[in-house]
Amino acid sequence: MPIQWPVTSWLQSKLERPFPRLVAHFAATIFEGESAAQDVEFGMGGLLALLAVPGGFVSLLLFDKYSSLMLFLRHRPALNIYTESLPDKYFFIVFSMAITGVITVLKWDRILPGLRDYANLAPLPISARTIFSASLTAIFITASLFAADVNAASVVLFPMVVVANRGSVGELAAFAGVHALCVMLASAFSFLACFSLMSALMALLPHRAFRRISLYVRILLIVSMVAMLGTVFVVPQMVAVMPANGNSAVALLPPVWYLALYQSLQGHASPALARFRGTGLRALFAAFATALLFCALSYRLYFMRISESAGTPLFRRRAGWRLPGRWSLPWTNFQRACYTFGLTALFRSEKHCIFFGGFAGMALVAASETALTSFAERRPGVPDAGLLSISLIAAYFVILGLRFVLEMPVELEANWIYQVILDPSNNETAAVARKIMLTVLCAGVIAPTVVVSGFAWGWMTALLHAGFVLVLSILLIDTLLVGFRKIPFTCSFPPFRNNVVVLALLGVLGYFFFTGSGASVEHWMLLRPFRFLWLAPAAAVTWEVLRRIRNDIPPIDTCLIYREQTMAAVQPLNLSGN
Amino acid sequence: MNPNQPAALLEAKGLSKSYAGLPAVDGVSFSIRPGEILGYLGPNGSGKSTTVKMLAGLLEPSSGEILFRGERISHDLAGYKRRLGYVPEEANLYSFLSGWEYLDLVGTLRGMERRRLAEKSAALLQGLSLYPHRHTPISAYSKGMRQRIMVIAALMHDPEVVILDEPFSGLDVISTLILRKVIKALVVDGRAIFFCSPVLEVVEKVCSHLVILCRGSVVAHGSIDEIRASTLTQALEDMFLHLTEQVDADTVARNILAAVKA
Repeated sequence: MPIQWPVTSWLQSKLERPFPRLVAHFAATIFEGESAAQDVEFGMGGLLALLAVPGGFVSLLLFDKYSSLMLFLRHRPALNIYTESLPDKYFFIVFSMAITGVITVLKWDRILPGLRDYANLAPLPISARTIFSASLTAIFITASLFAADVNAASVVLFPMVVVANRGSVGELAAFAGVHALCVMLASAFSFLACFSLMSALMALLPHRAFRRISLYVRILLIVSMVAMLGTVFVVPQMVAVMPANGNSAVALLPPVWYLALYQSLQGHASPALARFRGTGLRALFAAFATALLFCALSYRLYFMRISESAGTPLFRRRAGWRLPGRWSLPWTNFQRACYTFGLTALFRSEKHCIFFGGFAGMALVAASETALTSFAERRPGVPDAGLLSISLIAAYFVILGLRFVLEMPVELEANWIYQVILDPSNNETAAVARKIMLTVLCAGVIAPTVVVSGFAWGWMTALLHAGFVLVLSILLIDTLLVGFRKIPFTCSFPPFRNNVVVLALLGVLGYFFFTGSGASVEHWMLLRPFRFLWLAPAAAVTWEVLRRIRNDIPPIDTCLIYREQTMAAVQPLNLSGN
Repeated sequence: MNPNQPAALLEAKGLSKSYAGLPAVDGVSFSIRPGEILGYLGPNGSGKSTTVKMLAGLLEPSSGEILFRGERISHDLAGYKRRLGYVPEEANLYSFLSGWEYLDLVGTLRGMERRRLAEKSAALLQGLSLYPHRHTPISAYSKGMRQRIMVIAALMHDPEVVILDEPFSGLDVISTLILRKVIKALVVDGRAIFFCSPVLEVVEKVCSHLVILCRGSVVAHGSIDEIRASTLTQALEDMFLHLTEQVDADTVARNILAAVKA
């Protein structure tokens, strides 16, 4: 029988009381997936491990920049580690803010108690104040845990990489302490700012309006976070040349406030930055007060009145997404049904909209950056490759984003209807996915490309440009759909793909090939427009190659699937055939 | 077999299913003829849902076979599914779709002609009092409304065989009455119905024949009168308890009450 220590039993007795149990319950609710055995399940451990990796990885990459040996080999003088590390400090601040913000937005629905909590907790003899306090405590504990996890690796490794071979242990500890404080404060601000916005919307809007607007706000926040990540390439340079009176647009960016605090605490802030050393702290307190106020208000207005709102009359929804005249198109019934289902699911599922919004955000950041550079260097005549690549960048991210979200299931338990009706050997899923992707691409990229290019370069060039982007996009879509055999949004998602690193690398390489090489080829064609005639045979050859690859897939690997299995690391050979 | 009786429409022969070596269904055999409602009864965990999933073509049997019009369903699973209507136990529906959109999805997947699909959907929605709520998202539907949508989705393509897994779950009195009459009318029209329910009274009112399952095996099969005669009991409840070797309900109730009061 295990020995029962007095401290253990005291702790157990405390934890078994209603309040800590309630806090643990709410914390678990925030962490849990969409529902049991469905959708994208990361698991608590996996998610925390995943979040901690980038900070450590980037810190190690910086070894090349700060190593005394590398500097000696390059015949470069020793660095002033406090000023030279400014861009890297800015990166870690932005990274911790973006990750915390994205997680807050993704977990938005689970942060405050909802209908399910009301149904389970309201009948219990617990006061509303206890539920509220427990919920708030759980929110702050989980937020702190996430912030600590996101920054844990960089707090240890970054100061070591920067201060190694130079400072004393005391200097290292001071550097690490300041780094930890500033990135944690930045994370806390990001979380509280998103949380206050959510609570404020919840408190000020009627519930139905909140549900509707919430989706757009969340997408906007994701796009902002991605855009904020994009600022790491430009803002540090702008901070370095900021006027001493601090009169600059970059001073409006929250990460700059925490960079100012960072530099001030280390005693290396420029006069311009020193002016903002207290702004981050003031903003944090303001966000905290706002969050607390609106959280209490929304709790009172929403959670306490759930029972009253349960009897509200049913509302109507506008008719679902329909392609006009889809019945007159030579599509099979399978394609008609799944196409409508796919587009409806894509635009009605919050999770899908948010993930797709993330890719749209990346497109926006990359395209804006290219546009800014290319407009500054533009010359009269045929548009240069930089300008031509803008549409290709947008198309690439839209296609990649759609390909990614097509894998994510929506209400997996409802896919029985497909299993009951469909013949698994009749696989037309790639055709459906292609139609969905092309519809979004044409509406979101090709049509705006025609209009904008038409006004900028004339309608002939615009049509040639849009046609080129469309042909390249179709080839990319067909490449990405080789071997596709899931009805969009109906197949389970494996918890972890062991080829994720290879896929990410291919994604990056594909980006440079599709946008860089694609734009250069198009520029070469635009110089002599008859060269566009080459496009047809080149595309035909690529299609033929893709067709042959598709035909080589054995029939067993083309059947419809509803549950994707992760390949086991070790598999029996089953030589006996049993 | 009576030579005047029509041939079985759906037949299970020695159906077995094991999960990780543990048998869930073991050698189950029965048949349903046109115009018959076969009730499928059994205590929790007796293998009812596993049988239903095998009959619906969602699960492959470990051994045994399922025949539709004398042909193995695996030979033409798609053809079998075209003639099958299925109402599952759980009302898992795509809640972001409206009732109308859901029926449009199902009907289109079943290859129904557009106008016929719209007319049938409207008529069935009217019949089951869902027409005013056809554009409401399913997420806002009550349990009974979801159940009615599933019933419509199962019947709209005019199936020959209907598998109903607890179809009255969550339905109000009127809807239950209507659905019961619909089932009887379908049977009179020559359909075969497999009716799985844990509610004995409902089974007694609806079914012509019974299969009673216990621990994965059939313990009784025949018309209700035949089973009554073989078990020497009158009430279906007693018959069920007798066949499935359930514990004495009175004793269990007394024990529970004692535990509550302790």
